[in-house]
Amino acid sequence: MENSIFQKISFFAVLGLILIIIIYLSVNAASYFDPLSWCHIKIHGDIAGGSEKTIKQALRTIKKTNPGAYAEVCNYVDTISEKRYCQTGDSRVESGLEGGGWIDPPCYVKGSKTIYLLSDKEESEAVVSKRAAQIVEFARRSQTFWQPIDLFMK
Amino acid sequence: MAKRLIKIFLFLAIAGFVGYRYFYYVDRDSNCFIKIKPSYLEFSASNIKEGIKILKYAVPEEYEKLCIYVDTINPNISCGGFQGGCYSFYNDNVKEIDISTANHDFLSSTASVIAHETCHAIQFQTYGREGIDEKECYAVGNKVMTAVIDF
Repeated sequence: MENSIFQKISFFAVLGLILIIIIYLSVNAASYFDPLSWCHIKIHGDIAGGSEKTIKQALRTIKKTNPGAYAEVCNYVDTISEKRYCQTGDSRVESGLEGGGWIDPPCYVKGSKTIYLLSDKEESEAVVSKRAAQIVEFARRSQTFWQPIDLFMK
Repeated sequence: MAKRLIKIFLFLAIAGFVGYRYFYYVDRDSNCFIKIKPSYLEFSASNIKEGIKILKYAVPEEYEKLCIYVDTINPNISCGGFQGGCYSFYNDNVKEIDISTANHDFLSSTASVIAHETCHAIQFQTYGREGIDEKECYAVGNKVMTAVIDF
């Protein structure tokens, strides 16, 4: 009798563990997921000319080298997207916009927690470091936007 | 009997979650309720909801107008083409705008297109067909774009 209860508990424990591993792996495939730091960031890579891998590496680098900034990134960034442009305005309305209103990323859109990085498929240390610096910088801008609103909401 | 009740409850809970997640924008504090029609090709409700949220927090005056003059968003491809928008005064519902943005579109662009089409909804509901003026709405879209971008 006791043996059968023990067998049932073991079965469900193993099943639970397998489920947790499957969930962890599937969430990590489309995003950066660090459950121990309660950090989940969606990553929209540029399939044709980008690399999600260097974005994930950049986030791990920030975690290792600058835990304070990492906490800010986890709080104030929910999506990192690779793009080939940031739209700054409409040239039909405003003449003299830099690049006709289309500039290279990085950029941040206020009112969101999304930051945009320039698509880059090169997977070198230099790219990872550059991306890490840009993520920290633009997470700070998101924090600057959201902090007064968060305080007001409380 | 209990099993049947649980099934009905589960069905309603899932249907409610899917409806709320993909087909409605609800902001009770601002009395803002917008229906988002199903999008067969682009499945872009989350991009549109993000765009609305950007207006709410970064350009509140445009958000206020959206909540008053728009009650339905059609995310399917319309006269504005892919990644564009459209306001058709032939629609039965004068509070409906078309926003054809894709799911991973650039968010400032989505917010700008929503504000642009809201501008047309205001023009038509206030002055009728003669009130439609593209220049005024391009200026509104540009205002949103320049207000929200940080580079």
